[in-house]
Amino acid sequence: MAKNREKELKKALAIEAKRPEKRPELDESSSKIENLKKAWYKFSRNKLSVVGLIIVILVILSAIFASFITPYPEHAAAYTDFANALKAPCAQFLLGTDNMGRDILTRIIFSFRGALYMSVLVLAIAVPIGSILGMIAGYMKGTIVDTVIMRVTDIFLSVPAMLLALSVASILEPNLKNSMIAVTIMWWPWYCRIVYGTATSCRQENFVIGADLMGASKMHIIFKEIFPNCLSSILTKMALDVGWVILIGATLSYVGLGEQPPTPSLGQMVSDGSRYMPDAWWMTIFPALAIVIIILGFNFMGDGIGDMLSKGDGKND
Amino acid sequence: MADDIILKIENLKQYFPVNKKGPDGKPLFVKAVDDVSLEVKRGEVIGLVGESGSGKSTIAYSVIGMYRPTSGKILFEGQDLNAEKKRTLQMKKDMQIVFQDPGSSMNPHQTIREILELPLKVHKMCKTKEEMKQKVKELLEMVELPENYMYKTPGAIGGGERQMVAIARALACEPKFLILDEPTSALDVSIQAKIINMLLRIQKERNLTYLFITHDLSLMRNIATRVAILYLGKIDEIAPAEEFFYRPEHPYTQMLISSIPVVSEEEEALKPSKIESKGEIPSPVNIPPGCSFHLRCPYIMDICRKEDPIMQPLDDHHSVRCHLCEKKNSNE
Amino acid sequence: MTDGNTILEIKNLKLWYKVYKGYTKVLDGVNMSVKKGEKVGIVGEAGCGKTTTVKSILQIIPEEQYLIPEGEIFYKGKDILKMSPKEINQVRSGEISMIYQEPANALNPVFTIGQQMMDVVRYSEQGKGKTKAEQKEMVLQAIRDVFIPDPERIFDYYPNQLSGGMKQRICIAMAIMTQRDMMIADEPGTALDVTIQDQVHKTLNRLVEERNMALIMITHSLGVARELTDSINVMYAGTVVESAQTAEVFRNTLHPYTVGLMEAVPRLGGGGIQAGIYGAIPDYQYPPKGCRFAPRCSRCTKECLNCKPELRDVGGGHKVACFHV
Repeated sequence: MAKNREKELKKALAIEAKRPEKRPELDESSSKIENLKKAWYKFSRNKLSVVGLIIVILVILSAIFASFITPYPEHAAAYTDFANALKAPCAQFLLGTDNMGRDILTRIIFSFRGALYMSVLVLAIAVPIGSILGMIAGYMKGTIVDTVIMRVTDIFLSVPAMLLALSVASILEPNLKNSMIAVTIMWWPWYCRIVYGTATSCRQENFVIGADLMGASKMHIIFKEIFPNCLSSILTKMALDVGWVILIGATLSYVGLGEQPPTPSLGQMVSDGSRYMPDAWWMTIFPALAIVIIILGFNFMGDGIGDMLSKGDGKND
Repeated sequence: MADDIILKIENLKQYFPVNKKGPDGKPLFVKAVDDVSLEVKRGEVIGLVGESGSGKSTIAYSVIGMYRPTSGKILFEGQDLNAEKKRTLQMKKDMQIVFQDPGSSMNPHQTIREILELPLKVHKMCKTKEEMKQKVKELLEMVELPENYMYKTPGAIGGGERQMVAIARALACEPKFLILDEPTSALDVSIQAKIINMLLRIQKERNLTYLFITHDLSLMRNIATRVAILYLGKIDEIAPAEEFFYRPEHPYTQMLISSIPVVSEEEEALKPSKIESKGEIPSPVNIPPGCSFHLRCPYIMDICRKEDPIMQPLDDHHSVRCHLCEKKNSNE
Repeated sequence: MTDGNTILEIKNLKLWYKVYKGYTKVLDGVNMSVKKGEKVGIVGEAGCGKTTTVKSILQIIPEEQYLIPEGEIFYKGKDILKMSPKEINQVRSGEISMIYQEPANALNPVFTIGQQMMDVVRYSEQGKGKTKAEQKEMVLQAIRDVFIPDPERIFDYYPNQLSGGMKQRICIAMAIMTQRDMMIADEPGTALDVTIQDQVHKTLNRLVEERNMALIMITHSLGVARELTDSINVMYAGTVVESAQTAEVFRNTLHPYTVGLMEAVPRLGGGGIQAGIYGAIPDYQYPPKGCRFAPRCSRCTKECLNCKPELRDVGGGHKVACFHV
């Protein structure tokens, strides 16, 4: 302990010796750069967030360039090669092959596409709807508008999410689009709730009261005053949610209500592989591991974004 | 001169319902402001002094339009502010407020420039972007802050500087009347001195009228022309600032003055030493019957427990609401 | 200089907080001492290191946030900075008590006043081995001591049933309940109304005197310091700039900062308000090289900009850190 302190002190003295005498002056553009650097500093203070960010970037990149980086791009479609079926991981097939002889690694990487596509679309629809409704309800707390919006939200929240998704997906034709609709329906109320909370507390802040007394319009107050204050909780939740949407998507496709074969999806692969357990363990374990890693990645990154956007205690930032 | 009066508050009452019922089953109210009448002349600095719970901020918030009064009228330049359901933009422009806590009165996610541009945009004071930027510069200059502050966020500057920005924002739309709700009570004395001097300078330059709210009587002594002392939503005493300290009539005023920690012997001599402060301000839900101050008053008489005194003018400028002073008057 | 009479002595204490891109050098050589039974005031503006100083006495800053490159804090002849965690805990729980500015945050809202005070007694030297009834009697006596009527009723109250002034009295009661040698009061009246502040200060003063405790009173108000303390340390930007007996500070104000502070106080007699002190406290991450007050000082010379003045005795125990006195 004491040794650590000494080491730190040495480091501190070295930093001190190098620092300029005066705080560097900032104009408009350099203060923006400085803000970004500071944001990165806050984000990267927790090493796990950096790990998360790296995972997320790798996943996104590999999804985009899947056709170039995968060893057997043709395996992502309806392809059969029974000669190589159920091969264990080896040099030719790094993660082994499935019962149709398709390369697992290729199929995992291709399945990122569907997973990301789904979560981006779900969030792109759910977040704006949820946040706008939440902000309106929060700002107009106590009026009929608030009551209507929030009661509707409550109704959606009270229906078990999985159940709703399953029923929507099974009433309509089971495919990616429909499972996305299902997930979106169960997703926006969460944003509405979160934003509602922030907005109601914001509304009592003097800067909102002040803007109102100044004569600013409702649109201005909601979008310019309240919205930036909700942004941190929205972004944090979004980053965490990407992982969750992927998980829900995997669950839906596990039970056969998501992406339809032959397009690869992680849930489908786990479900297919489970029939060959424990002999062809690679068919289940690797896609499952991929799910875990993606979700962890997004969660770690979400925590980092939360740290980055938190105001801090003033002393440490 | 009647038109000299910029703001007239007539029998203002501001009650807030509480979720409780009294012993008689009637709903209870917080009587935050209970029958206050006040006239403010153009160009004066009128001070409202009182402890927390005395209703001083509520008066300010009713005047600025945060609440609709339970009853009573607020006339600004002869115009009833609450005649219509919504105030016009012009009414909002003429009257501005500076809040106590500069931290929460500015959006932490905006730059100073955006904050200062809001009133200019709302009241369409500038035509071009260039003009807007120029105006923001002028505003910063007025409150003695460097130009490059416009790129900073409120979190990056000190409390005193933040309050200066808040003042600049309030003055951006060139109001006639400014409410200052304890603008310096969260700040240090050296910064307070700077801000107060700046406010007084601007007041002279622009012939503004200030409604200055504070709990600090010695600060009030140095800036206000007239002071009203509030206790539990009622005005106890109103007089020109100097007179308070040479002739405090109401026992509550005396108690307040004697509680102030001072820094010199001369000031010590100004304190009415007889009064020892005791008790606490009661909850405004349960205002004691009779004179609301009688529980803490050292000169309590029988009549104080039963009857609420009414405002009595001692002379042209000085009025007191106390049975003791009524008695003095009749003896003379 | 450490004689038997000195209970606490801080020598050249420096403290840095870790921040983005470096360190804020908040304390820059604090020197002060407290004698047994003495009431010492620390006066200064917000952000000048008053609270950090007392927090470092009790070692209550989270460890990862700060560094102490230099300095010693002797409590009864032992350096607090070199104590083991167990010894520090002993100091906190049995020797020095502290009351805070916000009484509302100092009490736990989910326990009654009685429960919280009983805990203090139970873990103290005096309370150990006593019966429950005796412990309760100690608590009731402490509540009576701070002038709260009807202690039996208060005992079962939750903190939110009490007013701010009452809560602060309870905090004081907790601090004096068991025999301690020193009390640190961090702006105990600032969050309260003047009349209540006056009452709380008087109660505090009486109790400390009765128990012959040493008191460190942090305040930003010279008036409060004048009424409550025996000696005053004026702090500016992490250093003590002037230190003397209270009456001496007011009679013979020497340091330019103290003079400016004194002038900025609005007077009851009227006469307007002086201009205050030009500028603001320095950026602790990039502090001035010489005297930290130099950029704001009207008497600043070349020497002030380059060298840091030491706190030196100018006669009669009146110490000033300025080249021009």
